[in-house]
Amino acid sequence: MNKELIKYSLKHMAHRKARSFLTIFSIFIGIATIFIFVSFGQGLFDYVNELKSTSGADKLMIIPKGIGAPGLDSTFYFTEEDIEAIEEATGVYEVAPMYSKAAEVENDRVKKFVFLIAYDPEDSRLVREVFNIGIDEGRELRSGDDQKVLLGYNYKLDDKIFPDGLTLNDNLEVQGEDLRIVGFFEAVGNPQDDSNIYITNGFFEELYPNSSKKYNQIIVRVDADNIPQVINRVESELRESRDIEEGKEDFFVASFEELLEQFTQALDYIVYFVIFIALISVVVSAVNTANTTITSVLERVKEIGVMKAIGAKNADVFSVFVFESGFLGFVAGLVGIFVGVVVTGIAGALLDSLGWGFLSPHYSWELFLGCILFATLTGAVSGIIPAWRASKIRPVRALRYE
Amino acid sequence: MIVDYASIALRNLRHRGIRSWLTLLGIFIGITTVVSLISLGGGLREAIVSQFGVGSTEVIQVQAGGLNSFGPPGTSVPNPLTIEDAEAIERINSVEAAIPRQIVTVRLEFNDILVIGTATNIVYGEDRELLYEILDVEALEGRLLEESDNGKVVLGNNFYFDDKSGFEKEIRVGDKVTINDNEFEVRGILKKKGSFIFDQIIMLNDEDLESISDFGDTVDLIEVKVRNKELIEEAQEDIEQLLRDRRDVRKGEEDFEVSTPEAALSTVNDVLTGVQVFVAMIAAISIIVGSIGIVNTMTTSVLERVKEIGVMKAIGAKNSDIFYQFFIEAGLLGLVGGIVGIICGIGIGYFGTFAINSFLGASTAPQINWVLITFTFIGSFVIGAVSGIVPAIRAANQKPVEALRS
Repeated sequence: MNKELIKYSLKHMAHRKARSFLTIFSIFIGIATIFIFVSFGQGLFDYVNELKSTSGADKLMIIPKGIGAPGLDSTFYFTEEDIEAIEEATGVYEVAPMYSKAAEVENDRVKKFVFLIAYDPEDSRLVREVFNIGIDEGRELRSGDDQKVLLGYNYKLDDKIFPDGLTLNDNLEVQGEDLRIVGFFEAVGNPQDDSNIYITNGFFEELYPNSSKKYNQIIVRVDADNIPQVINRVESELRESRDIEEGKEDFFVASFEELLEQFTQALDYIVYFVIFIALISVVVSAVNTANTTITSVLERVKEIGVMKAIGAKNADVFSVFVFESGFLGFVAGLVGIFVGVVVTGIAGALLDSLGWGFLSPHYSWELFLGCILFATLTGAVSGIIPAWRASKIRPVRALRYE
Repeated sequence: MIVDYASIALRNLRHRGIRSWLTLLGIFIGITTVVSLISLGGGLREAIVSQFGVGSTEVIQVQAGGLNSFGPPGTSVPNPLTIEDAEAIERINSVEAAIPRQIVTVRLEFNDILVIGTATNIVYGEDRELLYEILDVEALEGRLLEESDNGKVVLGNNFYFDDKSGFEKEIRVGDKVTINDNEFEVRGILKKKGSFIFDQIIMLNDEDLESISDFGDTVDLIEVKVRNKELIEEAQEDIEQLLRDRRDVRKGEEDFEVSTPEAALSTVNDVLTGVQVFVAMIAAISIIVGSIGIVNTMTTSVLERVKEIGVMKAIGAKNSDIFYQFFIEAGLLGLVGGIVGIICGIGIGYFGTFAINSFLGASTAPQINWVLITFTFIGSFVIGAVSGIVPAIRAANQKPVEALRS
């Protein structure tokens, strides 16, 4: 396709401003929607991948089976004996037994129910690697930290958990006991985890004597190169210490990576579904583009006749119309990306301020390129049939056409 | 008059053949998507809500405060309710009965396979019949537990099938199962309830459940039957007052929940409605795109018929006549697209609900929301007509002399 023809097409589109504009408008809406959801989906994917590579590679989670959210059903638990058995398995480097419970916290007469997590300060590093967050203010829990509590990030903020945010060395009433705040974790980026409170295992056993030595979950650091074998060994050690036959386990042993994958899979389905719905609008816009091109062919039947009479080949005519619809798609792609970036920027900031910081858009050049290519292709493909019809027009008939 | 406009409009639409079809297709796809998603969403919501197996409406449920949306009642509660609380509630005037319920996670073994399940207690005395009524359960095979049935168990409907229970073998009345290392004889299997909670329930007599798990005198949930429907609100207030006193908390700081089953479901309902609205909004984008298609078609149509408009005006047509002509033509495009869209959308809704039913084991009908359909019906005409406004104004404002000369 030569310069002349391109110039001819562009002039024609500029001439038909309203129609070109409407066609671009209809394509870009769908493209922008897809851009928005893909960029958020990718952001999420990145977030999970980062968790996997920084903290997941060498860790196992051991959780008792139960009904409801993990850690809350305390029917099955792990004993000191189980911990020792796990420690004996080859390939196990570090074992961090933890407690978790729903607790009542109160400040200034406002009561809330939150997750309480207890761990041994000696395992701080391992635990923090799994949470993948550092200390924002104050300090870590230390051995012997009785009557002290470490809080999730949201406790610092006003109107999040309590009307007034808490500060270091304030007291927080947990299960009726006044605990002093020694520190705050950094934000995880979701309201659930940022509302957790943390105490030491030692103090937990004082607070809940009935639950003492009934651990609710265990994090294990293992040999990263032999994870499947280590899982098998840990399972068989646990079966032995709990006196359970194979296939009748009342616990799960899973690598951190596996758990994350299950989580992302569910999210992936949601993102795919939304993109699928958005795709429907692109289909509609393709129909519109086909319509525009058909009209444009009908209007120019005479012109096509003239072009052919002075030597234009079928292929030339075909390419003029495919170029036109493809070009409209291309422009729509550019506009769609622009709108998408603006919307995701605003939405990302909004989500962050609402405490959903881990939902942030990710822009990759593949996404930009993909959106433009997709829009151009949508335009070009919907122009194919009308363009093909135009190319088959017989010059003599076309010249006679009124 | 309207009929005239409509018949001229129809002729014009037919004349433009493929372009009219494509415009219709555009609007039809959008409307099909929205209608099918909404009716599907309605069906899905009903299916999910039915999972909670709410039977009687004269029942109030009482549970202690905690992270209650993360699991069954009682699993995540710092300060549980007690048997004494239930007894005190039963003494309230407006209350007919207060039945303490335990919801316990147990190990169920059969066919040498272990499954983690949920067991609940069946109380003794007069309240037994009432509890069955509240839970709305009937036996499919065998019978429900009676007082003398210690050492016996009644299982939910899923255990009747080898592929739903996880045991790879059907359980029948008279079979022996092991619960937390104690052997029980199956006394009955429940009829299907279409709820994954009740279809997997394990029912044991109070004493039996207590002997295999130690919950002391704590209670996970208290089901309260009110004397009659009118007293529900009064009873709810009385219970709240009583529990505030017993648990020593001030008004507004309650660490317990007293709710009717409908109210308890409202959170779930709100979330599901939110999701439905969000999805419908995304789908509505395609309707917007479809309406742009109408604008486009109508703009073209005005340009093509400049001469015709000139002739019409020359023989006495008023601006308003021309305007209505194009306005109604655009509206018709929307309306026809809408009708076809509604029919296809409902069809997909039926098909989809059927799929949900077989997946969740629920038995819901698709929600054909007539308000929605009427709204879509009128809406599609309006969308079309509104899309036609700008082109129609342009058409109406054509100067006849210029139009005839072009």
